[in-house]
Amino acid sequence: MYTMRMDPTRGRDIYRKKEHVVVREIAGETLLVPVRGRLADMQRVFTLNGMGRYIWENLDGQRDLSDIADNIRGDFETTGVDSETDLIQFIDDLQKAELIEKVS
Amino acid sequence: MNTLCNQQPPMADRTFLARFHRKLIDDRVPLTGSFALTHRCNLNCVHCYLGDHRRAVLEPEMDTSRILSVLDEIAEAGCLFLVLTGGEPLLREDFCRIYTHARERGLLVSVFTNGTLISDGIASLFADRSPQCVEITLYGAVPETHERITGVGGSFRAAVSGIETLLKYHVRVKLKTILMRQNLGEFEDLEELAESYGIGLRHDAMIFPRFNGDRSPLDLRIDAREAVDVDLANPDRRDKWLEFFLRTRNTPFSNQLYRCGAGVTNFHVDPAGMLQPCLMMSGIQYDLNKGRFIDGWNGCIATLQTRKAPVRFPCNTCSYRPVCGFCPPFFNLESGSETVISDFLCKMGQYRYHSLERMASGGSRNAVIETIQER
Repeated sequence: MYTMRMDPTRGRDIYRKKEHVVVREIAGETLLVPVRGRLADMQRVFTLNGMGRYIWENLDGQRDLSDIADNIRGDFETTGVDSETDLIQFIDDLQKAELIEKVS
Repeated sequence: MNTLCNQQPPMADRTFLARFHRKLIDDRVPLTGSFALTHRCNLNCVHCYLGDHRRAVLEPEMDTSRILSVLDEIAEAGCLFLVLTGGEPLLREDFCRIYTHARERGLLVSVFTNGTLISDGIASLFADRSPQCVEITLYGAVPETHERITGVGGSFRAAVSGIETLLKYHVRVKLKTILMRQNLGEFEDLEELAESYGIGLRHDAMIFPRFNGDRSPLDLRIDAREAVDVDLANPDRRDKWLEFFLRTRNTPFSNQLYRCGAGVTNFHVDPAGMLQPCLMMSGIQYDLNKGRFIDGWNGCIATLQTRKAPVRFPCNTCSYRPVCGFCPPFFNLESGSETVISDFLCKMGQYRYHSLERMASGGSRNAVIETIQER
């Protein structure tokens, strides 16, 4: 079922995780630690909650953002518009931090 | 944000940090460690706690394979911040392999070095897989001062070359120094030198006996008051001390001997593979050649924080304790007992406490105090 509600131009975007990011589980928190690049500090370490971790795992270079938004709606109790806005914001932040790259 | 996901970097999120910090302590997660890769050094500093570096070549060191395994075990146990230090860590021919492995495991690595062995190859590695920071020790702003302390001609020029090479590769560098009689008059020049490079400078006046019992470095100490005055002369450092003072001055009295992070969130590994609660505390050790990091961490290392001070131990009810640099291993190195207080630290604590108290209650109220008191 295709129930994309987000901006269609973003909904078709596909991203994948960069290889140089290590996922660390410390004291019950999920941290994304960049291994390569100019600055390795806590300002570039992202922490993810359960939903963030779910999205991170879905950034596999095959699923587009609409697919991921649909998966979220299927697996979590969220309202569509807010979660899609947050998803886009999250993706933009990950890309800005050079933790993911756009495939198409 | 929000309902979906918290993508804020931890350092930008005070709420996250407070919760994370509490959890780390409650769960005893070894978040922060130092790893001395070797005790060998190409300098021979007058105050060095390691003593005679010519003997260090005879000391056992773990081989590359074991070090990489220990790094794996450290990461699995929850370490995030790791300092690679020495001796001079760059003397290890396998340094690049060790450093790369640590970064690949998602450790945020800092490197403590004397800077003399920084090559383009090392700087290039750091540029590609950046450390949190490379800290280089300079003891003076001119070769004569620095080399009077390091005992090696040409070491100043080599260190400066190392700094400049790292900066050329845009690696984050900080300077640090140890204040002692030989260089106290040059501290402002060192600050200017650091400023000319656009990098930070931190300092310490904590000189203690060598680990082999040699007390001669104590002759190099500056007066405790001078050390505090240097600290509080700089507005940024003064504000940090004030913030710390206001936050900790009402800490409840306790007979718990160790109230630092040693053995709770901090650890140290020496070149032979001995795990300790901290660099200074060699009285509790676990041999990583005979067992895994987590077993040592949950075993003997965990016993440190259960140590109690004697009933009449004066520091148990001392108001100066939060700002004196209280450190039982420091006491032990000075006196042979971790419950015989250090006169040097005691003087420092008293003077610092009263200086900060005057600043907090007097005419020098500033934004830091108001911010703290509003919390």
